[in-house]
Amino acid sequence: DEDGFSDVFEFEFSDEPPLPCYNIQVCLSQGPRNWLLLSDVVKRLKMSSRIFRCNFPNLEVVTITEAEFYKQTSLSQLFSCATDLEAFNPESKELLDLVEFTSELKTLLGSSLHWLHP
Amino acid sequence: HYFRYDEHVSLCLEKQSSSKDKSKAVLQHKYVRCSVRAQIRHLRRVLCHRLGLPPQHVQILFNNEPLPDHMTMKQLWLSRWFGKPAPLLLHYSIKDKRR
Repeated sequence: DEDGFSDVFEFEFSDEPPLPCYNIQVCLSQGPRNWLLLSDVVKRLKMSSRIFRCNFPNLEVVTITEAEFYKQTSLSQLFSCATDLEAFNPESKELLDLVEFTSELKTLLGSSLHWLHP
Repeated sequence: HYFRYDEHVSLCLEKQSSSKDKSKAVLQHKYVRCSVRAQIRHLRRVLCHRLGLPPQHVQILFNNEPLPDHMTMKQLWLSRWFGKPAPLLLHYSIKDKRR
């Protein structure tokens, strides 16, 4: 029952401060979804991005320009703190890899998940 | 409702230190992330469950002030934490049995 599953709140618990999660629309046919920067994920897992992508082919990775990433993230009221975005260049044409923030990825990063029916 | 596509907030939950509270219940994982549409009452339910306490025994505080049950994480963030870096710092306290 996929709809039932989407209907619950997911609470993610961890010992370490969570990696920043970005709510970004990557294509026009889908609404915004939650993503982590692949570079953040591989750093925390102490793994190369090549090995990460080989080992977890089911985790979707997409590419976005840094400028587009900055544009969407800076519109969020939750990223109103300058230090959260200072690492990014709003003009840059460089590409960033994003990995979809699924329950599987949360577990992989060592978080424990708790579901609650509202 | 597709909560998993919502924006999420990061919280850090510290136990309120009180000399009266002799309970040993302390959260093992103090960082929590959840949807901006989750409410304080949802967080309280999850904490009670994780601490092995009956429902309604945990209170959530910001700067020593108990937060209203129906406040959403988005309201909490915008009213108390706008312009500050993640995670948002909250405290929790365990009510004694007299309540």
